[in-house]
Amino acid sequence: MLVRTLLLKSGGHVLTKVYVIAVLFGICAAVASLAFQVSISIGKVTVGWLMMNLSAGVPVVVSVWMYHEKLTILKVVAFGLVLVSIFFLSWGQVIEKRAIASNPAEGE
Amino acid sequence: MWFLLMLVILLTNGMSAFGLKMIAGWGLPETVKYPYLTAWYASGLAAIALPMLLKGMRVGKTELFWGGVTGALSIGGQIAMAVALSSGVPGHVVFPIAIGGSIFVVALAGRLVFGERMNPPTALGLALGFIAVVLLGMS
Repeated sequence: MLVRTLLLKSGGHVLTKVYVIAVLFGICAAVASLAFQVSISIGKVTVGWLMMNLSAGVPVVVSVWMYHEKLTILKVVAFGLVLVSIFFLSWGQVIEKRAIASNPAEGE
Repeated sequence: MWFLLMLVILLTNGMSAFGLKMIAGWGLPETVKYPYLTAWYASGLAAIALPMLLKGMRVGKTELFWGGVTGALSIGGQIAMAVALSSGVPGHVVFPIAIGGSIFVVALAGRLVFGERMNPPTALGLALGFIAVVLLGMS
């Protein structure tokens, strides 16, 4: 990326707003990576990784809202499944926490 | 704490990819993505490296090794996806396989390497989430 950027013609003026959003979303990515690292120390790596992938639904929702993108049946079904999935994952986490609280040896 | 982390992952990781959509929405030339991604990676690196430097933390050989391995695997995955797409494999086939495959591999590693066991609600949530991610990739 750096090489391609440096090889761009001098006329390739890049708007300030492009750099502003790049910094903003770059920090978002860093925070997400850190949150994932912390989450796998207190929860399951599979659930944390699934959540990283489920987050793909967020830009789709924002695109529908900001750019009035078409909301297809496939997207609606996918969003519904995302919500139901998060509900079950949270339920599973609550059960696990209760089990560890009642029997601390299970958490080891 | 776990719920807060999941919310943070969901929102920040989701929004981190939205910049390219905004650039496309502004109608800027395709070449803008290179300086954009350079600044994106640089700011992400700075956001993690600066607090580490301020706290006087050091990066050991183990961290560098595993960071390098995962980075190389990530680039390999991106190149494989690009080759598949340029070879005429449709996006609705490539993206679900790439995303679904990574979840499957991590779930397998979680079970075999870390001995993770799922209670029924977590297993159901994972199965539904897997289908949702594949559908999102197809849409």
